[in-house]
Amino acid sequence: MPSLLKCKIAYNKKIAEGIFLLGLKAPRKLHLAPGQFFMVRVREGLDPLLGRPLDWFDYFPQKNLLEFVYQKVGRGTSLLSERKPDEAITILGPLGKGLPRKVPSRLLLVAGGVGLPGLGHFCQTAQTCGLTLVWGAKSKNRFFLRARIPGSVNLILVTEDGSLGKKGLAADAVKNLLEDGYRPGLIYACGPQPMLKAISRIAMSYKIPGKVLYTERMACGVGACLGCAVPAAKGGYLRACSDGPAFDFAEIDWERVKC
Amino acid sequence: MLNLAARVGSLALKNPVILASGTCGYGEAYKDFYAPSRLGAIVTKGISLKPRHGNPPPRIYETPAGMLNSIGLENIGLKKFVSDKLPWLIQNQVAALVNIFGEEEEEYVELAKRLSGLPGISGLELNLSCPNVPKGGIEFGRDRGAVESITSRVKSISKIPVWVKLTVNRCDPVPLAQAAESAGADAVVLSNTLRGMAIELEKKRPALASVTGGLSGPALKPVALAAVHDTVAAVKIPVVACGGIFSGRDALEFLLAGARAVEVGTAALVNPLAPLEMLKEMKNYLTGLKVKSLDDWSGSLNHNG
Repeated sequence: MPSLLKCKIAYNKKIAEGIFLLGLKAPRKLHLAPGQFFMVRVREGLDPLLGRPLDWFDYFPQKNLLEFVYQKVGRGTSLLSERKPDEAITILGPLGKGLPRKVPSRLLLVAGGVGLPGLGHFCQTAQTCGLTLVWGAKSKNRFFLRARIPGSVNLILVTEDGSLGKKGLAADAVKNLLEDGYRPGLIYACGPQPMLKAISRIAMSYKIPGKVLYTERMACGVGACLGCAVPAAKGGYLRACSDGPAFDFAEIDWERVKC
Repeated sequence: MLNLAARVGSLALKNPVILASGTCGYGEAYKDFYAPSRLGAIVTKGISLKPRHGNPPPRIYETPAGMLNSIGLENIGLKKFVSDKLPWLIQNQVAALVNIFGEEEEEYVELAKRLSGLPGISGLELNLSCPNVPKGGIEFGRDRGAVESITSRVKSISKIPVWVKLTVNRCDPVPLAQAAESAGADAVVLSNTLRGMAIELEKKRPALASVTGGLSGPALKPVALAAVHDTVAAVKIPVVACGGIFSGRDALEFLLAGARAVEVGTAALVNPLAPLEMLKEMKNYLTGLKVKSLDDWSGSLNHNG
């Protein structure tokens, strides 16, 4: 069940270019599913007004320590990056329908930039047999916490500027893998909408099942405002916050996802 | 002992805090956090005869101390509301008003006809003020004649109280509230969101897919307060306040200006517990002043102080 949690900042540090790791001491034990998210109030008061939806990256139950990774993209995340240890911070969650905890065999994870945290559970877990992670970023200085990813993970890094790994997008790398004959059992993808759209299309053309963690602007995070509309394959809209954020590739009408 | 019971015309409420239409689903949105029966009432998402898909995303954008939305009245339609949502409201003893919306005058009448005899509905709120749909809503709400005509036709068939939710978009709410009053409205609600726009500079495009949306949140509060204040002086029917109410103190200001109850919307989106926190703050404040009931407080604004 979600709740309003008054947390204390344990750390809030830069881990890559414009990217921060936020560690929060939660007031009680949390039960989390991978891909669930929290609405994080960057500070108290009326401005900025809305919480920022952030996927949890890791959770250490012994210390009730909850980690988020975020990128400084606007005023809200900029203010968040200025928050100091021991300060209070309010979060609402865990929210949304996430992914099953179990790590399926031959799982392919696709992460775009700070989309990685949504898939954090899978790429940090010990049973990573046959797990492949394709991680794309703008440049080599945008990757973070690579030491957290076990050596058993088949890690493929790509950058838009070619500064590390192959030059290109995460979706290009996935396409190459499939063209080379690699057949994952399941694909989970988290990243910006254009990436999700591309991955879904490629996966569906190869008839490989999987899910995306969809991102859209949100106000409430609990299904009240209908702000985070996701075009549904069956017509109309789904809500990213409460019908998702985990959706099967085929649940979304990608034609109508304008990005 | 302070009594927070409120009264809007013939409708008695446990307390003056109401969840505003469009911010609480069909009353169930915050059930994981608290029982909605703890509030004075809830107002459902605007219901139309047929389901509506609403506007394409992006539908929301944050603005200084506020937000823009253009949901476009996405709703499940009358039939599904009655079969899937109303039983839950009854079972959980929620005081529920149903916000109704039509593209034509006839649709309001039909909705009222089919809803007003059902058990578990405390009242109807006529949406004559949504800025985010091409037809209906605000189109009627700025026209005295339309307000009067729709209200009187709905009143003539409704067995339950009828509130009229008005706008302050490019119009003076006072004559519109007077039109609602003369047509027999039980109360007016002031006000809906204010039409506004935001631009994403780097992308050189409007922030919302439908270009403009409705502004809500604290930024709207002074506008809503003036509308309530002016209207209270001009009509005898109760005025329900709506617009940027984020704290118990905000709510007390609106009541002081003469509102009989307050609708809370964006505050609950930001913090689901806001309505309860607001009630607690109101209680503490009024208890500190030894105020015994809301009747002693409501409308006691001192203009000569």
